[in-house]
This record gives sequence, C-alpha cells and structure tokens, in this order.
Amino acid sequence: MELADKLTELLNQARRREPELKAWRFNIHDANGIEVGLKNNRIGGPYSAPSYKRSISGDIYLIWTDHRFTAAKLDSQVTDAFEEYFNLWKATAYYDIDGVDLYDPRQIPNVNLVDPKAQEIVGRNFEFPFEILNQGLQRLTEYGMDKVDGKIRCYQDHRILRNSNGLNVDYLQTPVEFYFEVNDSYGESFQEKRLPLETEVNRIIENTGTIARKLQNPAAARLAGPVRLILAPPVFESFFNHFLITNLFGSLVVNRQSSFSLEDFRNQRPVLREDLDLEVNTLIPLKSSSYPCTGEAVPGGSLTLIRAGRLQTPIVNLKYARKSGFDPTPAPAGGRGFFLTSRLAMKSWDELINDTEYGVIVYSVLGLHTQDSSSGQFSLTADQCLLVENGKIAGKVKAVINGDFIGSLQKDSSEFAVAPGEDNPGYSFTANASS
Amino acid sequence: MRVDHYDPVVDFFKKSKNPGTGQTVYYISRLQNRKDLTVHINNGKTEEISTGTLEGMGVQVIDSKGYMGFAASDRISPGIAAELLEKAVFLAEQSRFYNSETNLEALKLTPAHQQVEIPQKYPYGALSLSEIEAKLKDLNSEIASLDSRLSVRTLLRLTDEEWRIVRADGTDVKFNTPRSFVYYSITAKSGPESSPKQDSPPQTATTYANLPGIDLGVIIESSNLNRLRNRAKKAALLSLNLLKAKTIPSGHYKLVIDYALAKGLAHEAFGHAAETDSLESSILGENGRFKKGMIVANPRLSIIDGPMAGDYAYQPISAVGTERKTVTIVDHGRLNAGLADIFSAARAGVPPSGAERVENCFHLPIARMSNIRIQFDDPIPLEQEFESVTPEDLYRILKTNHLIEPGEKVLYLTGFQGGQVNPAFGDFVFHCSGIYSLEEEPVLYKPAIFSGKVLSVLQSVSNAIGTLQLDAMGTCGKMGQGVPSCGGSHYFLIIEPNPEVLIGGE
Repeated sequence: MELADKLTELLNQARRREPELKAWRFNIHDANGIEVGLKNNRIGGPYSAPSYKRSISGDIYLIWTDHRFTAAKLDSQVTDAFEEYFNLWKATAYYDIDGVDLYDPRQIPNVNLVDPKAQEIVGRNFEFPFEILNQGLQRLTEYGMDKVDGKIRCYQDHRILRNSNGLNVDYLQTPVEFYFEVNDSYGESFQEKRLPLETEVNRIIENTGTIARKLQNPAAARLAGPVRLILAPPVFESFFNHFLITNLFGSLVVNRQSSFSLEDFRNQRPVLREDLDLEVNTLIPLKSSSYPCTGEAVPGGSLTLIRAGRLQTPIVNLKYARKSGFDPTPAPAGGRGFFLTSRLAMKSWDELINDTEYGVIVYSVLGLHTQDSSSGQFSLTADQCLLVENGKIAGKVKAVINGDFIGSLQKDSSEFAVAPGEDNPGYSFTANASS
Repeated sequence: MRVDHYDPVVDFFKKSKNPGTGQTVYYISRLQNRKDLTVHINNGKTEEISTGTLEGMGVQVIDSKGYMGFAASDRISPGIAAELLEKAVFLAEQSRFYNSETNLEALKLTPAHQQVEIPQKYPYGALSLSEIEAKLKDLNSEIASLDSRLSVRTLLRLTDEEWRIVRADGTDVKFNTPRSFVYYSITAKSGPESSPKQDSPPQTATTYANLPGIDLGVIIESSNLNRLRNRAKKAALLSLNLLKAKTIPSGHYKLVIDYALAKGLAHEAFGHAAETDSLESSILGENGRFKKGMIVANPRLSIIDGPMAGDYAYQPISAVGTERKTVTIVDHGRLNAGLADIFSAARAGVPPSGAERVENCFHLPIARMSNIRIQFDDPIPLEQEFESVTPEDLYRILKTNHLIEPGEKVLYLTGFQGGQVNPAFGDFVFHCSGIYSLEEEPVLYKPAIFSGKVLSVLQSVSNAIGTLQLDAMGTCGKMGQGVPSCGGSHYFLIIEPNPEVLIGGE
C-alpha cells in the first residue's frame, strides 16, 4: 500500500531528525466495500440505498524519550499533510510512567481471512448482495411475514501493521455480514470473513420465519417470580460478553473497575462452574473475529481465560500486561471470538426445550447496554419470548426479567445446550420474571 | 470556515453530468471536516490522550425515476468526487434493475445558501494540553479521594466539526456542530468486610456523571466546574451506598423521575416513535400516516424537539441542507407533529422538519432527534440547584404539595443509564443508577429497569417540579448511526401508578 510505504518513510525521516522520537508503530486499514439494505419490504430506497464506501483508517503510537507517548487516529490525509500531523502528535504527547515500548513478536501466525468470491463482489459483481436480499424478502414473505428488513455488507480490508523495528504485517480480509428481521420482532444474522454457504442462508431464513411465526401467537400467561429463563445462543452470547468478558479486561481489573480483582486472577478464583472452560481463539480461518495479531503486534492464537471454572488470566494489552504481571494476550474482537465449553455432555437445543417444564425462551431483550456490567446483576425487558410448558411452546410472552447472571453460571442447576451454527450454547437458568 | 477550502469540489459538482448519459444528475453531497481530542484520566493518572481527524464526502444520487445510489470516501478532491458520482450513478441503476423503492421528494426542495457558524468561547487552544490534563486530574482525584473504595475514570472529549452540503439545485450551505463533554465513570467496590456475606465476593457498583457543552468551557467556567463536581460527588456517594442496597420488589409504583430519566422517556418512549422514516410500523402511525390529534398525554404536558444554540446536540441545518425546525411533537397532550425527513414527510402527512442527521459522511440521512424535552404547564416551583436536591428534600416537597399520601409508596429513580425502544410495539425501557423509596428516611435500592408502553406512560405523568434542565446528554444509536442527543424536562416528573409501567425487580 502506497500510503503505508510513504508513512514509513516519513516516520523514519522524522526519527532521524527528532532525537526525542524513540520508536513508532502504526496500523492502517484500507477498506472498501458495498452495502445494500432492505427496509419495509423494499430493497434500497432513501435509507438503505446501495452504497459504495472507501476509507483509510488506523492508529499511530509514538514513543518519545522521558516516558512520553502519542496516540492518534490515522486517516488518508496523513502523508499529504504529514508535518501538520506530526506537529500535532508531538504537541499532544503525554507522560505515562506505565507506557510501554514496542513489542517484537517472535512470529506472527498465519490465518486465512480472504474469500476470493467476496473480493469479486467488492470488485463490482454487485448481483450477489441484491440476490441475497431478494431471496430473503421472497421467502420470508411466503412465511406470512408482513414486514421484512435486512442488510448486507461485503468489504475488502487491507491491513498493514508496521513498527520502527522493521515489523511488517500485511494481509487482506473480506468481512461479510447480513441479517434479516421480520415484523420488528425477530431476526438472525451472519457474520464471517467469507460469503455464506447456501445452507447457512437457508438456515437463517428458515429460523427467522419459523420463530417469528411462533412469536405471532400470544400465550395467556402471567409471570411472577422465579422462572426458568432459556437464553437463545445469540442472547446468551450477548449476556456473557456484557457481564463476564467485559470484567476480564485488564484495564478494568487493575483499576478496580471490574467484578474481579487482580488477586482473583492470581489466586485463580472460581467464577464459573468447574465443568466450564472459556477460550479465546483468533486463528479460526475465515471467522469474523479472527486476526493474526493485535494492533500492538501481540500474536493471535488460542488462549484459555477460564479453566475448570477458575480465572486464568485477564485480557491484557502491553501496558496492562506489565502492570498486572500477566503475559499480553489476544482479545475477543467485536464481542465475538470467545467460546464457552463444558466438560459435561451438553443437551441439544431441542432437548433442552423438550425437558423444560415451565420456562421462557428469550430471543430478544431491550436495554442490555444500559446494565452495570461490574455488578453482574441484570434487570431487563425481554420483549420477544416464547413460553414453554411441559416441553411445548405455548405462545409469545413479554417479561421483565432480573437476576444475577454471573452467580447463575456457578450453579449446578444451570444448563447449556448446543445449537447448530452457533459459536456458543444456549443457556437455561433460574431468574425472576414478571409480566 | 475550513469547509470553504472545498470550493474546487463544489465547483465540480455544480458542473457534473451523468457519466453515462451526459444528462444532469440530481445529487446531495455532504462534505465533512472533523477534529477530535480525547483526554482520559484513570485514578489520577493520564491513561491516554488521543487525537483524530475525519475528512470525507458522501454523494447521494437520485435518478429521474427516484432510484438512489450512494458512494462515500475519506478523500475530498474533484477527482474523487467524479469517481464517487460515477459509482453512485451506477448503484442507482442497479436499484432500478431490482425494482427498489423510489423517492423524488428531495427534488422538491428549494435552493438555499446559508452559513451558520457557532462561535466557541473556549475553542481548542484556549487551554494548553498540560492545563487540560492538570484540570482533569484534579477533577478526577477530588472524587477518587472521597473514599478508598472508589475508582474513577474521567474523560474529556472535544469535537470541532464542520459540514458543507451541496445539492444539484444549487444549494450550498455550511455549518459547524462543535461539542464537548466531561464524563465520569465511578466504580465503588466493597472490601470483604462490607460485603453482605463474609464469604461472598466483593460487591461492585458503577455510576456515571457528565456535563456537556460545545467547547472547553466545560472545564473552564466556574459554574460548569461546580456543577460537574456536584454531579460527580452525588454519583460517587450513590455508588458507595449501592454496595449495601437491596433489590426492589417488582411492581407498578408511583414514581418520581429526574430530568435525565425524563429525557430518556421523551427520547426512547416518544421521540423515536414520532420519527416519520419508520412510521409505517410505529404506534404513532396508521397506514403510514401520522396520527395527528390523537390524545397521548396529560393536557398540561408538551414534548418539543429542536436545536438549541450552545447545546451538545445542536445542529442548525439538516443533512440534506435544509433548516432544522423546532417541532412540538405533543402539544398539551395532543399529538401534533412528527420529526420528519424529506423522504418520508409527505407519505406521513406532515411537513418536513429538517430532521435528517448522519453520524458522518459515510452514512445516509435518517430522521433523528436533537434536543428533546418534556414541558409541563405550571410546575411546582423549586428554588434550588438540581444537584443539591436530596431524596429527603424530594420527600419534603412531595409532602408539602400533597403529592404523597401517608404510607404511600413512591419511588424516586435517579440517574439515566440509557434506554431502548421498539416503536413498532410501543415497548420502551430505560435504566436508572439507583432507586430511593421516598420516606422520612429514604431507603436506597439497586437500580432496576423502568419499562412500559409508550402510549400509557405519558398519560400517567401528573405533575412536574422545578425549572427546565435540558442538558441530559447521550448518543443515540438508531440504525447503527451514533449521533449526539440531548434534552430533559423540569427537575422532576411525577408518574402515577400504571399497570403498563413496570419497575423490574425481585
């Protein structure tokens, strides 16, 4: 990439003439792609018109003498107006006794993140995005859905990470996302670094249509008090990310802003049931959350954060690795890339529902982002739910739910269930619900 | 203005033709120039200072039948403009092939030439970086030193943003949207000795405080500094007290909500439902038409949205280059007008109100709120700064004004933590920082979700206390686009018990 080469040259020149500048590192993403939306049964239109977008973004980190550092965002103008940018970087350098030097990894692993077919689409074969949306619209309308919304995004991203020690990480990736939502009530999505398989498109459309149909039939039930909450896998993943993963970040742990303390990690405090392991893996080919290394050049890989229910390591960047005494780690990307597994056999999703005497399947909640993740407690409205009675779906209910999510993960009575196509299981536990 | 430098690009657009047919193309181009500074202090130390810039343009093309295409880049030059125009025209052709939705309403706009530049009393540079850092460290340490169980993050963000919008009809408007805020995240963490059970893990509670503005005045002007300190202290004490708080039983209660929660109510429960771009599925629409005249609230209550000079969410010109109007959505209890963008106003049966906003030049405009507020006729007067009003004061005010019966359970919800709405079903939620049961000696409970039905809750607002306080800031994330929002109400609103308004709990 021409911009990266030029920026490298300009930074090296700056380093030669500015003795205070000890080292530099930058990340650049040169991304371009296509997006098309489907709103209220129509593809395109004023709010979801087919769109082409191209941008260069990134960040730069400068290390100066006397523990001074610069952190800044990068854009496409940086080489054209380098002196102006450089003067600003110099003026906004800050003192940080805990700031860290460059990290030089022994090796950056390889992971395939490019789908040539996705590249073709970005290159101007725009039929595919329209066809996917059209297919979803037609088939979900056949399911009897009044309103179909959706969106597809196909991008190509050229990422370059370089530093003044000669590190050069350079790779392409092709993130692809789409979703369908019907009747403002239920939707499913796809998010990987490849085009979806036909079976995946079918599953998303069929699940969306089938579950939305069930959500059209209200159940005559009044909830009050303890009930079995059955979180669908995407809902469980959102809960888990908000209430548990957030609390594993080293910056929060070290600064006493997490549920967990540094001592908890050093003592490997049990926080989950002992059959449970939590892993981050950034090297699964074509996975949306995969990458070869972090922005600081910490190699990606597979890392166990919780083993047999016990904390192993916080998720730490270089600064908080140094402050915490743990090794730097890769981090889950975009709320994904973590995998909760059990050493015990898990039921299938259908078995879990069949075995539920009285419970509520939660497909959507309102307000998760408003919850205090440090407390582990939740109080939410579950607006799209199905009541289960004696293993059968009784109809749609809405409930206000509350409980202790982190606490529930330690209880023997809590259950997990695998569902096809999902990274993480569904989850059944006892909490309070009222309607 | 910095966007004056884009004249060559504007000249290119003025002369532009469809690259394929040579015919005139209808376009709306948005050129953006933004500079950001963020200073992050964590427990008295500088965590990071970062800067950023964004310069780019988005070109929305509407062909003769109303089919649309859009292209955007982070480079601004006549050459890039030509490339984007060609791509947007191509995508509009693709839209035609797939029988997309058409819309020609933008072509009815009248040309405008306007420049609105909000002066900043304390722009970037009014303080040196070291002065900013020192002030923020002092503010941070002052709160952290209140109690050893506290951990405090303080963030200042300063954004200097300018826009230029040009259209094929000759429109060329320029405006700026400067904004700033100081934000505290305050976490209290109990030691084992103060945990409810000796063998249980420590309790943790996080609360927030903020002060928005348009420049560095948020950390320079003494009135702002006092207000910021008072808000942060109040939030810190709340987080400490929450460590031992119990959970409230779920139920339908009489409520008092503060102005920040009232902003959440206006924004989540009503503002979104009044945005005409989604009226086909909104509870305030019928067959896509706005239900003007419908009675939705107490006749003393009005809901107003519109830009306010000096406000965090101020935007005088819309993202299609038209004037942003102040709209009385609810006029004394009656549904009056929608927040209408040009593409959906006619379909909704309301006049356009210039409600179009975008997060940045890479997005298409959608109808959004700016500063939304609930106004109540003849509120109970209160001669006190909002920050100094305690739950004890509030109980006394209710008692003096015969708004609480002996033995009546009234909950006071304080601190807005965000919310969400499904306008199609009329379901809304928002979360508070803490809940007090108002009694001679108020009892604090853990926060719980406040949820209900849009059309029920406003009917239950029965009174208001204090003057208007309209600086409850936030970021609205509709359709994945984050834009600044602000608003409020009188200091407090009183909401009568309603079977469709529920406080979550045990």
